[in-house]
Amino acid sequence: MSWNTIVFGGIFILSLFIFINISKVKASKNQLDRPDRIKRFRETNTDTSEGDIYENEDRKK
Amino acid sequence: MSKHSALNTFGRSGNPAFTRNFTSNDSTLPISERMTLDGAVNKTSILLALCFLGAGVGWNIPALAIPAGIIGFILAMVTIFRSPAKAGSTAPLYSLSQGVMLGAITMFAEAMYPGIAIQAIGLTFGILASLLFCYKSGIIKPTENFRLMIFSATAGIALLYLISFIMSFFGSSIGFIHSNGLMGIGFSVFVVGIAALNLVLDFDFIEEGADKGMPKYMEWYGAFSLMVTLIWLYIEILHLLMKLNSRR
Repeated sequence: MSWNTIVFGGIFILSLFIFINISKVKASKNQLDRPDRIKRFRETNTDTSEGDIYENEDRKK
Repeated sequence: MSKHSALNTFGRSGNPAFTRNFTSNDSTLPISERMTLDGAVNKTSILLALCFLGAGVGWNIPALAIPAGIIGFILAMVTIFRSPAKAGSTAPLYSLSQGVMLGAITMFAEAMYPGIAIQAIGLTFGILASLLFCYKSGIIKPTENFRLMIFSATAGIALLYLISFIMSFFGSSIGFIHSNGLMGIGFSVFVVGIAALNLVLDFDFIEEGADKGMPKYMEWYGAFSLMVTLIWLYIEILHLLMKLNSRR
């Protein structure tokens, strides 16, 4: 087995292990509790997309 | 003009799989039917396993590469634009067919430059794990501006590839895309960087979906989106390594 296979094969196995284990851990508060976090999902009780809400806020200004 | 008009025009995600608006039903769904991080990771593992299985087939029967690539493309379009809720059935088929295509491409690359396949696989998963760590620890923080930047760059690359593809029918092409000169290698490094940063948006999508209690099918959709980016990243890394090897 060549060094190429050992090194890159090792990186692959280690990375897969890290991916499967770290993915299941919730992200840090540092990441989740931010005011500038991307908001993709709308709630069911609103009929406007977030873009429209931003638009309305801009018009008020 | 609103400062957010670009968001409204171009959508809110770099990955086309995320340009749709989804609605959170967290008040009505029972806990067992909500998206979880564990579920999304398990489904990603299933899709990865199917992709490797398909790659084994493609490696041994390379003639299947083109039909598998076309089937995979159609399945991706159906999943993104027609029925994200059916990602549970389309995503595994997408992974399997794309795996067949990747297996065949990798076989050809390996025949030309022995040892390149394991390098591409190692680098792809190395980038995946590193960016996941950076995202989870908060080192990289995706914002709306970050997403717009990645979306613009991704759309630009897609447009360039489309123009190059059309030009190829007339016996011409955009030279630097496939060249092994400094310009060509620089372009490939840029594309690998953009593909890698799309992974951060995928992680954030899955994290937010689980946080907001989205429906269970979104686990499959999140896993599918991650696979789309991973497959793109792998192809670009393989392309870059081939350019580098051809200079020797």
